[in-house]
Amino acid sequence: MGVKISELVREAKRIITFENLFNKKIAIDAFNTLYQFLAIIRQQDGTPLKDYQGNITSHLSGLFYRTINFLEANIHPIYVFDGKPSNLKLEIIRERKERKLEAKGRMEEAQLKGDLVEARKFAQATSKLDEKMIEDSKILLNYLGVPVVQAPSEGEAQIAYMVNNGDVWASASQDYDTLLFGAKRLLRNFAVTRSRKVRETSVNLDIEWILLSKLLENLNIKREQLIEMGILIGTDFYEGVTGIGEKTAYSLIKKHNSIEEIVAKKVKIRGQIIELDLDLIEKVKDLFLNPSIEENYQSLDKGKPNFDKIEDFLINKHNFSESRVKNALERLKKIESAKKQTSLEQFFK
Amino acid sequence: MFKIKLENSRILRGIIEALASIIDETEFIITTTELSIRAMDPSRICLLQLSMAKQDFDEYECDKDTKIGLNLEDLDKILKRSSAGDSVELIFEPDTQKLKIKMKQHKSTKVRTFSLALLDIEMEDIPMENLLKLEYNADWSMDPVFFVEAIKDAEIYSEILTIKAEEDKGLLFSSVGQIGEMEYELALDDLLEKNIKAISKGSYSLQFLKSILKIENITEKLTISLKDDHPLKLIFNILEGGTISYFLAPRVEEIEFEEEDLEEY
Repeated sequence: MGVKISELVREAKRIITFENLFNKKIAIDAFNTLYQFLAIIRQQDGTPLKDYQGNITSHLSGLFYRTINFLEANIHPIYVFDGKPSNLKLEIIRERKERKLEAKGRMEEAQLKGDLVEARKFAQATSKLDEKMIEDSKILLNYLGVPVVQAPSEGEAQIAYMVNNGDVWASASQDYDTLLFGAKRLLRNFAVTRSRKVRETSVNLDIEWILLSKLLENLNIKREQLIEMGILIGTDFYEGVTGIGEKTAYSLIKKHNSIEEIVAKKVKIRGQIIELDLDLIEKVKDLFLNPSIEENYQSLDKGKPNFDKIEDFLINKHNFSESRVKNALERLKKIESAKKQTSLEQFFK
Repeated sequence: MFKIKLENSRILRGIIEALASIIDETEFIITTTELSIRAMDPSRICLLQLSMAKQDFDEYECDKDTKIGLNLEDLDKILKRSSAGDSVELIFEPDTQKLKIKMKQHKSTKVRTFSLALLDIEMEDIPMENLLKLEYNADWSMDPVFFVEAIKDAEIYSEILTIKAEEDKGLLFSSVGQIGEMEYELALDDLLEKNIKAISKGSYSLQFLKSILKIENITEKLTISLKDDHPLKLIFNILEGGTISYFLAPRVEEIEFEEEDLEEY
């Protein structure tokens, strides 16, 4: 989900390539990424990939092949997992569950009718990430030698802290919420290859690089105001105000400076006075400004892959194609054995 | 405003072709005394520095220090349209925000003019002081043709070329792959000037070396400096004047930890 501010961000983003990210540590929002793998990696009729026991494996497939692509490009991924969701988020999660149930019903209906396009469309909205999937993902990353960080609560808050601390270079997520949490740099279309249909064929979307400082400078607002705009538009922690999108939120905040003023002045939107529970708003703001984070996380340096365990886990336990996994592992072995390309940066110091 | 001219388009064409194989876009700095470029490839493995003095050009007019950003691939395409014997002129008028490239054939009235839009490039500062202060253990000059030959030999086996210089033996280029290996030896007498103080060895990416050596056919002299597991320094003196220097980051053996032995089974 995440806050919808794509229009406002447009001027603050640049296109970046894998080469630019050479030798850099990138913290990936694990939940956000796994959800996308679940939504995208599916068969024609929308059924996800499964092993012989019927366990869904779309997320493992995405995680495995994508991570090897990073390692091959000498990019160092770090996956950050969400912990316990805040009470504010629980309400939103409940609503989403209802929507997923509805989508599931409509998917099954469409599958019965044989309408594959419709089935696939609704299938993408049914993705659910359960404890087992999360556990399996961590096991696989561990075997690959890729560091995993467990956030006490919000993963994006944890990532923002790690980026601003200089331990990782950027945050990778499709959501703009990391910016609200204060992360200096955000990458989109990074962890998952996003493609767009252009005349029957699909074209991969460029990796976007967004600088928070540039965004705030362009909009000429403070981070606190960006958070308040997020609250008006709607974030994972507050549903937002009906009728307020990013443009309206921006002009409201520019004109009145803060939500407090907007409420005090009884500002109207579509003829309705905007009424907000300021105590609740304060709590949401506090969540963005003072989130709970783990300051003593493990080493973020990459470890050695355990090839035997990866093979056993993917081929024997989850029935991945043996030849595809072995090919991918060959690529990984090649990276491991070759002399490492250094960057000139270490000779500048 | 500036206006610079070279009677032989081949030189500029060769320079831009070589640069374009490493960087996509860069800033050209034109002062009253020289034209220069300093840039790194996006992965920060290779740094290059071009400098051509006023007297290296056949005509050089510049009233004020100017920086212009250009896409090198586009400039390369334009310059590739020049024919042998063409003169080439680069003209910039600040109010147009475009660079004009004019090609003329000697003793002909035909004039071809191309224009290229300028780019707004944010150039980062390259803190290369330490790199310039590096003391190398081996320096020598050599015919670049030998180097190109060694690169082509090595490509059969891997993507890495290892270079070793020894004070009493000379130079050894080598490459190892799954199917076998190659060695390319040059005696001290094959080198032009040499100052090899100690055995020095380094491994470098063939892909970058290939791009760098594209400049070979307009090179008058190539000087190389080597130090164990340090950036390789290459200085090309360009025919008719000017230099391009490169620093290429090495490929190194990763330090192996003994952690595997401690793993529980």
